[in-house]
Amino acid sequence: MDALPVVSALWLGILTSIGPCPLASNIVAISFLARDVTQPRRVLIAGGLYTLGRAAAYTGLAAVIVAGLLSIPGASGFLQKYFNKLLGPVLIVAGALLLDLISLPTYSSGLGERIQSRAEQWGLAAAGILGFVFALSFCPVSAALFFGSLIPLSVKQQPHLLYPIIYGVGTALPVVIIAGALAVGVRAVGEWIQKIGKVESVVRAVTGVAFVVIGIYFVLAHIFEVL
Amino acid sequence: MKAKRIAGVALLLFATGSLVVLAAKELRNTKGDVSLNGGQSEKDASVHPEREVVAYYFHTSFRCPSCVTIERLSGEAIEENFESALSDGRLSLRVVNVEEPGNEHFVQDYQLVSKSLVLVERVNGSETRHKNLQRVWELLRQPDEFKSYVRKAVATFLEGAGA
Repeated sequence: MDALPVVSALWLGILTSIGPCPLASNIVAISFLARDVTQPRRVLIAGGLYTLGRAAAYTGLAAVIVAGLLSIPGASGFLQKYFNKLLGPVLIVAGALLLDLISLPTYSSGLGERIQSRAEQWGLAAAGILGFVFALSFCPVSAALFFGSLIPLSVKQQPHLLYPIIYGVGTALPVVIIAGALAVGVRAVGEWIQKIGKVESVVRAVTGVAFVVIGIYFVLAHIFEVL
Repeated sequence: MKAKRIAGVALLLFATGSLVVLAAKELRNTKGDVSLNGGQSEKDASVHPEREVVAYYFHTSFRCPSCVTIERLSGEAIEENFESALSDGRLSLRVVNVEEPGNEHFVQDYQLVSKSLVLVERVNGSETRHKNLQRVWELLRQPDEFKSYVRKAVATFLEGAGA
């Protein structure tokens, strides 16, 4: 296996995630991954699951395209047009849930307790889902680099599906590194002022606010088209 | 507590309302597509020289900062280097919104996946070849390399057109 295509796929992924276009979703992802400031291990696992989610989305999409089940312009156009539009309302509702402004309806106390007791695991799984959904929310930069550069590269190389995985890791790398650095930094500040519990609640509130604000931005930009 | 509840309900209403607006817009666009078929489209208003090269910048209604940069750098690269070809009609630069009625065919014609700079060569009005300058996205943050890439590609096409 040649190293150059592997490095190219990784570089294309990094290039995808550092532009101004995915900045909004990256802010949400960073705040979400870094919110468990008291537990660096959880930040690490969440970062890993976020990366896996992104890699899974790109690999699945590449598999469907390489198999000839979807046309490249069709898939690119559909995902760019509709995913960003639906993302806004989803982020607003997720933000409202994170801020405890609304709660999920539960039909029996048993179910409610089970959901409550599994909140920790759900939090980690949500990182993977977030990665999957954000990967499919193509903006012009990511669409050009994924459909225009990465897919032709994958088609030429064997095994085809290795390259979308590496690309997915590349797209997650800057976000995961910044989230990790933030978590370590915030924890250090929290310990220094001996109010780690308070710092954690502030970070969690910031995460919820980031979801709501970025969600409103997506709605205004992609549905109302006023930004 | 009451303020939190009000904020939660307001956000839910906003999210639901935006979905209703999205659905209404999609319905209106579907009807519009039917009534506007054959309406305005990208037209070749110019008189065709025997051979010509057209540099198309294709975009959608949603303009992102990177897309605007690509459009600007492409225009600069062409206008700074091909003044005579532009003035005698051998070369032209056209900016096309592929979401406007009548322009959608460009997406399939050139397999467009995003905003794109595409060079098209036509002889007596018929297309003979085209090239999507895919690397504009990779060179976006290096304006000199970007312009050099576009200049070389256009020059190659013009040489071919003049052959």
